[in-house]
Amino acid sequence: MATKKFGKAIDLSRLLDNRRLIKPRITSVGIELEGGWKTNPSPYRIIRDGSVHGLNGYQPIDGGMSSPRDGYGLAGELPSPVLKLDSWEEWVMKYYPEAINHTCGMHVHMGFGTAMHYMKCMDPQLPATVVEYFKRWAGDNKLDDRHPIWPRLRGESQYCQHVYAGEDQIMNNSKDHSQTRQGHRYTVMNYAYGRTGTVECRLLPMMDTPKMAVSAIKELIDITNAFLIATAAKEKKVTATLAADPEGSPRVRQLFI
Amino acid sequence: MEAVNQIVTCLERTWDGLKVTVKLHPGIEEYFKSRSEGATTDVSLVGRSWRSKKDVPLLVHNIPNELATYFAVSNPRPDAQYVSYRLDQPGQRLVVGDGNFNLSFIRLVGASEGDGVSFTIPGVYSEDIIVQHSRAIEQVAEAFFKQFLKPVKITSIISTLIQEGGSGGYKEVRQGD
Repeated sequence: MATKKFGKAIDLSRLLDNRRLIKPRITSVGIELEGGWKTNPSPYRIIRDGSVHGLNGYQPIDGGMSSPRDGYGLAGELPSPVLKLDSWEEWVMKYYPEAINHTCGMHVHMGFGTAMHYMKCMDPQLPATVVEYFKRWAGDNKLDDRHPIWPRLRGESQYCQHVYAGEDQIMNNSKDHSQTRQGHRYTVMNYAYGRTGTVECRLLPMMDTPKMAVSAIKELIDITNAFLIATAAKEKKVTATLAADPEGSPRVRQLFI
Repeated sequence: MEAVNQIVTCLERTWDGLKVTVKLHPGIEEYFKSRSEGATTDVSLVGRSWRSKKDVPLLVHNIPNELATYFAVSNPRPDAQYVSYRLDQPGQRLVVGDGNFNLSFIRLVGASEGDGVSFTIPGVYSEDIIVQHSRAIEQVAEAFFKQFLKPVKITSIISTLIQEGGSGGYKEVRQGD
């Protein structure tokens, strides 16, 4: 199916102003941190991420590299295991990188207990709503004009494009790096059902502190849960009917002799 | 004569995936019964994508080898997403192989009785995909009906009337098509 423009953001103020009304639909999260670490944070190993660069004192992970040059740390990505809602904050606080810059993204994968909740997220209004409410969050948290979140919110980043391509993205079962082919994953919300069974938000950059990162991830979880509550409606049935005249159409053949 | 529903397919998103309900005119199921010589197959033996909620086995009427292939939709509409369909993929997803639409569910045993037969295909589907699949079902079901089931009444008349030009021969007259 063709890539679509963003939908229109929906109003979540009733829920986001009163967060105890938000009952969770998300049941698990996975977080990909990017940046520089002095050493591999045990028990994990930093993996390669070609988009991370320019971190002084940190050597980008390269395939086959067993350890960095003397005096250098490791630059790359640290993906979390699947984390429950009561344990992801501690994981972020513990394993946050020592160094980050504007090239470092923070991708959040959200898992759901049912296929229905995932399906309800397959709506162009969701990424539009996420962008809208993160504009407000960034303003409320006084992130200055040079913060890397703003170009992403304006749609200026190739890594989180402001389009919706859910129907094609769910069919992807491998990670490719094209930012242009139909169904590529570089959108604000990437529907990575085929690969991880999750909805991935690629909007967020790494934050200056782990505390701010936790705040951003909490906001994303609340926005998504609130969206699912606000858009809950009885599912419509779609019917395809073939009707035909049971007598058919007669043919008459006349033979003259 | 008034048109009668031949194949009615309902698609609905559920907690587990996509629920497909098919209700057939008895003539459709009779067609498959006649081609199967009474033999049926448990769907779970040939595919894992159709799940019955009540854990009652889903059965399909068997088909002869000449139906185990893809069939092209003649004169597809310009906006048609799928221009061919298959009847030999029970238990598989709605789109199979090289973009063939899977119409195998019209072989389900009991689909002409009561409210028809339902099954669920696990997975995620957007509202747009459901609409697209519904349109595809209309198109390929019509193609199937025209190709295999549309009744044709042929009346042959042997006449001694002399045709224009004095020669014999036959003249075929089609009243509608």
